Amino acid sequence: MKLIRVKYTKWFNILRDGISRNNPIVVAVLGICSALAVSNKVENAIAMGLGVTFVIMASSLTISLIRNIIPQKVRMVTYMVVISTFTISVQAFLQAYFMQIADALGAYVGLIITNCIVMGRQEAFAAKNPVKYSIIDGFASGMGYTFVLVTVAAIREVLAFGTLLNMQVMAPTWERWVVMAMAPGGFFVLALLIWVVRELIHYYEKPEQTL
Amino acid sequence: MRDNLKIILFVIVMSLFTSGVILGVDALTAERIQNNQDAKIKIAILEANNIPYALASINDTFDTEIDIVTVDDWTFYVNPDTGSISFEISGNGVWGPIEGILTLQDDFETIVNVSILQQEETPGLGGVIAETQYLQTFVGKVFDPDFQLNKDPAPNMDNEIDAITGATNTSKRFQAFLNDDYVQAKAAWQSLAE
Repeated sequence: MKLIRVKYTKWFNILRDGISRNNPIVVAVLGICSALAVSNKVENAIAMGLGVTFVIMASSLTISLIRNIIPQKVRMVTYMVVISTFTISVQAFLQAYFMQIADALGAYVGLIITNCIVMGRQEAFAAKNPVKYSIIDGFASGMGYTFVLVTVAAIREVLAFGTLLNMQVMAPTWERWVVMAMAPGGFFVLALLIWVVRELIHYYEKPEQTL
Repeated sequence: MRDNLKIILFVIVMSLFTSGVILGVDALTAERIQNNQDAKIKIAILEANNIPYALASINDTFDTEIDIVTVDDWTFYVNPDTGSISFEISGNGVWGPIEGILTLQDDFETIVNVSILQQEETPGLGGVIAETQYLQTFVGKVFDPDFQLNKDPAPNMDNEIDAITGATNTSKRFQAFLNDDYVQAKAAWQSLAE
C-alpha cells in the first residue's frame, strides 16, 4: 500500500524523471562531450558521474536558496560562478584525498564547469523551485548522467580492453576492439543506447513542422 | 538606476562569497596537495630503486636512502648503493604536459624504470602511457644512442619498445622529449664526472 502512495509523491516523480523520462543524456542530449570522453573505463565513469552529481546538487542547493534575490539580468553569470566554485572545490578535494582518481580523470574534472547538464538544471529547475526539490532534481539528473556513463563504459571497456572495472572478464586471447576505446566507439554505443532507452520509455520526437 | 545598483551590489556580494569559499577550500587542501605532489616524486624514485618505504615516514626514508646532486638545471637523484640515477623528464603530450621520472643504471644508458607522474592523454589510449604494464616494457632497454617507440611489427631491438596502439601522437611526442631530455641530462651528468 505504501509503495503505491510513494508513486504519487513529488520527489518520487522528480527522481524517476531525471533517470528516465528527462534523462539529461538520452532525452535532452546534454553533456555529450564528457560522456564520450570518459566512458571507456567504468572506474573513470563512476568517478566522473559522482563528481557531476555532487556539483549539480550543490549548485542547485545554492541557486535555489538565493533564487529570489538573483537579479534577472545576471542570472546566467551567477550560475556560472556558483558552478565553477563547486567544480574547483571537487577538483581540490580529489587532488588532496583521492590523488589516483584525480590523475585518471585529468582535465575532465575541470570541464564539469562546461557540462550543460549542470547549467540546464539551474535554469530549468533550481531557479524556480524550493530547495528540497531542487536537491532531489539535481541528484536525479546526476544519477541519470551516471547511469548512462556507466552503461556505455561497461560495454566499451569489455569490448575494448576485455576487462570490467580493471578485472579480466574476457579470455586472454580476446581481440581488442580498439575503435571502442576511441571517440567513434563512444558515438556508436551511446547512439544505440539512446535508441534503446527512448524505445523503452516511448519517447519519440515529433517531426518538425514545415510551413 | 536602483535596479542597476542592486545588480552591482549582488555581484560584489556573490564574488566575495564565492572567492571566500575557494580560498577556504584552498587553505584546507593546499598543503595536502603539495605534499601529495612531493610524495609522488619520492614514491616514484623509491619504487624505481626497489627501496621499501612507509607513506608516513617517506620523507625520512628518502633523505637517508637517496643522494641529491644538482648540475645546471638538472637534479639527479642517486642511489648510493646501486649507483642508479633518477631524473625528471617532461614534455608535451597530445592534450597536455606529460611528466615522469626516468631511472638509469650507473652506465647512464640502461633503463631501470620509467614512471609517469602526470599526464592528460586520452583515457584508455594515450593514457596507457601511465599504466604499469606498459611502463614495464621499458625496463632493461638501452639508449643506443637514442630510444624508439616502434610501430612496425618487426621484433624490437635493444633500444625499441612497441608504440601504443591507437595513440600514434602520444607515442611520437613521448619518444621525442624522452630522447631530448636524455641527451641534455647525459651532457649535464658527464660534465659532473669531468
